[in-house]
Formats: sequence, C-alpha cells, structure tokens
Amino acid sequence: MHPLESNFFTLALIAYALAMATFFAYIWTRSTRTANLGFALIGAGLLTQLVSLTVRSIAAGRWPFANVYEFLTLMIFGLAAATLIAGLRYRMPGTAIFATPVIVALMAYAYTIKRAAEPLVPALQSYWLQFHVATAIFAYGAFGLSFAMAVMYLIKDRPGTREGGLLGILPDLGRLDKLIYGTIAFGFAFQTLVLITGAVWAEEAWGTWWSWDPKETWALITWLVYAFYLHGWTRGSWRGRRGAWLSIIGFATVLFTFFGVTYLLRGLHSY
Amino acid sequence: MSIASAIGTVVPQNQVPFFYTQQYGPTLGQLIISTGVASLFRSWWFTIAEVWLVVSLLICTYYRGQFAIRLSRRDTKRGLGAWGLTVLHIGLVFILVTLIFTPRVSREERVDAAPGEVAKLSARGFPFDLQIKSFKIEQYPDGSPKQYITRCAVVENGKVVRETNISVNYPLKHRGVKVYQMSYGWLLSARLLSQGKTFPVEIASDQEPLALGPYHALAVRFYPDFAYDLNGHPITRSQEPKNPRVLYIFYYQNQPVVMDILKLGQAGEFPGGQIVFDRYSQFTGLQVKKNPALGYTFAGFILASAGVLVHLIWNPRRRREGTGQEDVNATSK
Repeated sequence: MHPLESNFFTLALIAYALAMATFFAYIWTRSTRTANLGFALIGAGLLTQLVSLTVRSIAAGRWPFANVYEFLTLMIFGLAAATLIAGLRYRMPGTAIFATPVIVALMAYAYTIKRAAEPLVPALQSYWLQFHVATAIFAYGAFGLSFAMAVMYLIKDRPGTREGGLLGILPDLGRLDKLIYGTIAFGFAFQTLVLITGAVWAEEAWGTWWSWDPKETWALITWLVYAFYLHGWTRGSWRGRRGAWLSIIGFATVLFTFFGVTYLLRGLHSY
Repeated sequence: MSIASAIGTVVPQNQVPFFYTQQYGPTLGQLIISTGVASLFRSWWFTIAEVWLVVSLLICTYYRGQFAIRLSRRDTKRGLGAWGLTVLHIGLVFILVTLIFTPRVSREERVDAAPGEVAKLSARGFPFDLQIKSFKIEQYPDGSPKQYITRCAVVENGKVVRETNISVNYPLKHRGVKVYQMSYGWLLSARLLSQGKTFPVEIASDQEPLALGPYHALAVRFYPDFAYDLNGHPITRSQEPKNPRVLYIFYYQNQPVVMDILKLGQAGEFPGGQIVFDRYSQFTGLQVKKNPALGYTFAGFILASAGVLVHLIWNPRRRREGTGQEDVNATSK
C-alpha cells in the first residue's frame, strides 16, 4: 500500500472523529460557529479520503471498486457527503450528531481491514462494475442517512420529553418524517439502478441476469423493504414512529447485505 | 416473498435429498424437501407469489396510468414525474414476467472442448458449431489470473462464418445464442496395463472417480507446474505445464487403495497392474445459452431505469401547489 494512501486515510479518520467530537460539543454550545466547524471537518475528511482513494486508484491502475475494503470506504464517502450536503442545505447540524458516529465506526472498521489493491479477477473486468458500484454508493449513502434521521426521530418523539439539550437541536418531527421519506425515495431510485446494472452485468459475466445468488437476493429484499416503506408512507399508514422503525429495519437489511452475506453466506459475489 | 427469499439464502439450494437429511436431521430435512424449500425459488408456491405480485402490479399500474394522464393535463412537469413512476411499474411487470418464464423457455448446455476439437452444438439444437482454435490463460505479474480466452470459429453448415474470442465478461453472441467462458480443465490420456493387455483411458482432472468396472474406480488431479508447499502438500505454481505431474487415486469398492504422484510416461502401481499417463491436454469449459425472453427482460430494465430517472428529476411531490415553498421531499443530496 502506498504510504500516501495510508496516511491520508488516517487523516480522514482523524477528521471524521474530530467532526464527531465537534458535533457532540455542539449539543452544549448550540452556536453556529461550532456547527460550521463540524461541517468544515467533514469536508476535510471528504477531501483527505478523496486523496487516499485517488492515490489508490492511480497505484492500482483501476477504480477502487473491487473488494470489501474499497466499497466500504466509498460507502463512508457517500454517507459523509450526504450528511454534509443535507446538513448544509436544510441547516440541520442535528443530523451530523447522529451520522458522524456511524461514519467513524465504519471508518474504524475499514481501518482494520485495509490492504493493498489487488489486480482485478476476470469476472470483475467489466464497465458495468463502475455503474453497479457507483449507483450502490448513492443508494447506501442515502439509506445510511435515513437511518441516522430515523434514530433522531425516535429519540425526539418520546412522550413527556422537554425541549432542552439535544432535543432542542433536532428538527421538528413533521419535517424529519418528510426528510426520511425523501432520502429513502432518493436511495430507492439508486437501489433500483443497482439491481438493474447488476443484472445486466450478471448476464454478461455469469450467463444469467438473475440467479438468486445470496447477495442479489438480499439486495432485492432491501429493495422490497424500502418499496414497502415508500408505499406505506404515501398511503399515510407508515409515517412517524412506524415509518422510522421500518427505515431502521431497511438499513439493517442493507448492513446484512453488505456484511452478513459477505461473511456468513457464500455466493458468487466477491464482496 | 422477502421472508421466503431470506430463507432461500440460508438453506443451500438445489442439493441432492441426501444432503438435507444429513445436514438438518431426518425430520427437518424431510420437511425442507417436501415443502419445496430445497429448491425454493422454483417451488410452486413461490411461483404463485410471483404471479400474484404481477397481477397486483398490473392493477396498480392501470390506476397509476390513469392518475398520470389526469395529472399531465393539469401540470406537465408533475405529470412527467407521475409518468416516471408508471413507466417504472410497467418495467417491473416485464422483469417479473420474464423472471418467471426465463427458466421455462431458455436452454443451456455445458460444453467442454479441447483446442482443435469441434463442439457439435448443432447436434444439440443450436444453429451453429464451434471450432476451438486455442485456449489461453493470461496472468498478472504476480501469477493471479487476468483473463481466460478461447479463440474459436463459428461454423454454419460446414462453413466458417466468423472467428472470435470468448472470454469472461465478453460472451460470443450469434443468432440469438450466447456462449460464455465458464471454466477450464485438464484431460489426461492414460494406459492401464493388466495381465498382458492394454486399456486406454481418457480422464479429466478433479472430477468424481471414474468407474473402470464394477469394483474399480480412478480419480486424478493434474499439476501443470508441480511443487511442494511449506507443509509438504502438492501444489501447482502456475497453470503453465512447466513441471507436469499427475496424482492418481485407485479405488477398490469405493475405498482408496493406491495413491501416487507420477511424471508423464512413468509407470505407477495398482493392484493387479500398472498405469502410465502419456498425454495431457487443456480444455475450455463453455456455456451455451439461448434465452428467447431476454429481449423483454432488457426492455423491462430500460423502462424501469428510465422511469426511476424521470421520477428523480421531475418528482411530482417536489412543489406543493399554493405554498410555493420548496418541499423537502424532493431530494436529499
């Protein structure tokens, strides 16, 4: 592994950890300056991570789309970008309080499994790899963000809670509910594209566009859970707490698709 | 369907019945077989669930379409978003219907052929034959495989119509048939010398034992570039035949009785005779597939992708009439 790649990865981890600490401090300071510092640190994390990924890509002569470590760091990148954009656009530092711990936890795990880039095995040498993984980053990034917001919703929505401390920072419930829906709708669109690009690629590489491989089956289950959420939300019966719980279940299936299937079930996917 | 699919990923699919009774015990194993969980995605009840989903999708799509038409009359942009969702659902119907039909209308065959051979696909109902010119494995500098390439000629009615490469991710597409690079292996030619007679044997490496009679069987493994690893186990350093060796196991009544590693031309023992391996050849494993439903599936993919993208760009919920305020539903990024 190139030292630049390794060092910038560590820098990114530090930047995200500092961002998390800053957003925790924001719970007490409640000042815009603290929040802005936090967002700047997420931005710094994104930049250093981008340098690390670029060095890796140049060293390997290919996109960093080929194994569990590479996809995990891209997923973190997507989640951090989503947190930054959503946080600034909708002026919600509250989201970052919940998203940064997820980012730091995943980043710390990525740190333990990082390794040098290997050349691509024949099955991965396809243009579809790029589309398949790129759409997955957007989908998983959005689902991660919706998970953070669902946790916020459940924390805020408890009977008899006062409007002080942490709760005061969180957006009001109606707004949060709509944001969760919007984020999931966005992620769902990309999850649809993940499944389709994967199917087109499988038709070229494995000779069949759908083979009920564990990874593709679990990606479909994820898609079905979120499809259920979207239909339930538009019909009005799965909003609020019920919807928040469903989006947490949705993200659990995302994590299982990613980690559970990779480590517990065997299949054709390399990660 | 989600729950059933989840079970289908945990219980290994399409194994022999013995596997399930062995793995899960007689009661649960029998239950897995009799309920169809052993081949869940082809079971009648899973198919019914799929058909049910198609029917409900069709009904929903019909109402959705009517809604999209009404909305388009009032507001073109929001109408476009509603059309996006309708088109997505039409695409899903295409995909689901072809998912149900593909295994029932498509045909696939595995073909192993050595360079120089002609794979007689026409004898199996495909519209051409394949003449295998060569097979090669490209490697990275570290020795890991980079690509598997079969060079072959497409033969129609005895005439070569085109010459092409088949490799992983780049199947041959000809007359609605696709030919995939799937695997490769080694074929060994051996002589069994017993009681003054010679019996020729052709046997593939790494296969189930080959029966040589009612009691005897033979299994072989070919090491093109033989070496011992640090633990003293035989390995092959590459797929190039730099130091070819053959490991053979001779079975008598399903019990291994002799195992040895031989050079080519070297005689090995077995009870009652000798074995000599003379030649090896590499063969390419191809999969030939004809799927008449594929065009409809891809039409579904295009419709669904287009529908999703249109809806993402012109989300009908983005602007609420009257308020003029941007609705946060629009996008998250």
